Amino acid sequence: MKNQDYIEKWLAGTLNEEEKSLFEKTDEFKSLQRMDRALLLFKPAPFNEDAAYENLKARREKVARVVQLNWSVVMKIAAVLVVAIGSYLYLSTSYFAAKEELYQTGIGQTREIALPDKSVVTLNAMSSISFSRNTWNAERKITLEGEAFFAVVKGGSFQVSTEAGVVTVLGTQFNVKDRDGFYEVTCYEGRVQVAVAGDPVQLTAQQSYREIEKIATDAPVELTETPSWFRNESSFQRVPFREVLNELERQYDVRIKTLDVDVTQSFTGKFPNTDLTTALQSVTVPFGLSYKANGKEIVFHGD
Amino acid sequence: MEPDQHVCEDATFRRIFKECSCDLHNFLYYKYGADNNPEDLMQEAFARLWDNCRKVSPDKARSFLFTVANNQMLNDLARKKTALNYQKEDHVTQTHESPHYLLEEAEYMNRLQRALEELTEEQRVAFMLNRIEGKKHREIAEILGISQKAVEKRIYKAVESLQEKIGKF
Repeated sequence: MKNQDYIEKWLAGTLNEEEKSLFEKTDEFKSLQRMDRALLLFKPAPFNEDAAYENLKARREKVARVVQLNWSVVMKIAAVLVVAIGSYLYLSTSYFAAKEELYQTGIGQTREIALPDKSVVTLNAMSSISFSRNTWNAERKITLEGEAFFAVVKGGSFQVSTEAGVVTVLGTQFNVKDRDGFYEVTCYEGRVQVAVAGDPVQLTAQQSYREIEKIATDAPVELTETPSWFRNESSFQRVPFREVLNELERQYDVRIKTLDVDVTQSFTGKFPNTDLTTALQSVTVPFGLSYKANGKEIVFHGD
Repeated sequence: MEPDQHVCEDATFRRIFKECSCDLHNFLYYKYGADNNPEDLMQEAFARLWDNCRKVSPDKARSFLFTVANNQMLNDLARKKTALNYQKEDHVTQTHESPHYLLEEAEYMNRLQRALEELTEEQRVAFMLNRIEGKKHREIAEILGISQKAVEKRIYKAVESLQEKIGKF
């Protein structure tokens, strides 16, 4: 039997037992099965049948009413309405335009948010984005606090503002991290423009721009296709130790204190985001530090 | 003669609404997409049924509704491009589900959505009524007014085109 026959029979539900068990072993079947599962999400949301019926009934019963109009009264009412609606629109435009949606994550959380144009933002822990749905079609602008990865669909300009600066793209994938004096933009695909004092910086795939305490600093080449936190890791290349500890506090519900530790020295390495003990060892061992946990407070000791 | 010769009786009309409104709505949605107001179109078709209630017997009401709604759509010059939606959850995780997996899943859904939107209206409506609504080939043939063989052909063509557009996943 040909492949097409199998699929046709499967669709019609007329495979016999033997054919069925043969077909179910194929990759073809598995991909069809996956599609079937995914398709269920396309079922439209059920509408409220009773409400729809009432609606219909109201429409049916509406009878054309003939009303004698007194035009001078109509004009007076119209004049009042023009003024009222006009001032309402004037006053409310700024309010509606400014109405922003906020999405945030807590400690150790990540979250995926679909934007109106189907671009996708993934937030790392303790981060937030806000944007205005009303004005989205006119301008794609997002405000970010913390760290997020953006997969932007092609279209007009797409802007991400953080306290440290503005990143502009057309359609691409990139990560923005703005955390307590550490600002880093990494481009994974396409082209990204970072606004800085002076000429803007252009990044292409694998390039990063980095500022530490507002000073532009050499950034490493990014070799992976997505940020490390997509793989439940936090990875660092020559990053001040202070920022590494801050990231630990964002990924785990702990507070870290240091005693005789130089937090300005730079750290290269990574820690897992799902296993606190390993994470603590990952950052203390390289510097020969020890740590003591006391509830949620963890103290790092230098020698 | 049967008691309800036509659909002007309130109870009869209500029963037809209950039986057909959801099917009609979903049919319009699968065929023309969310941006063409399937719910309004459905309501409009029922309003037309009411206007013509003396001329339509209950057993013909269903096909009347589908024909009216479909014609109306075909004649609508301002018709919008087909856009389908799927339920997208905001994934809030404690990082146990890897975001990479979620992104891949989202990519799959995106491709599936695009591939569905690119099917011909005929293929899409037959395919989705079968796979999502679980309608039998015979029932779809009745709704669309075509032969059962033609339904099978359309569904198979749809599968072929989807597989090709989604690619390896």
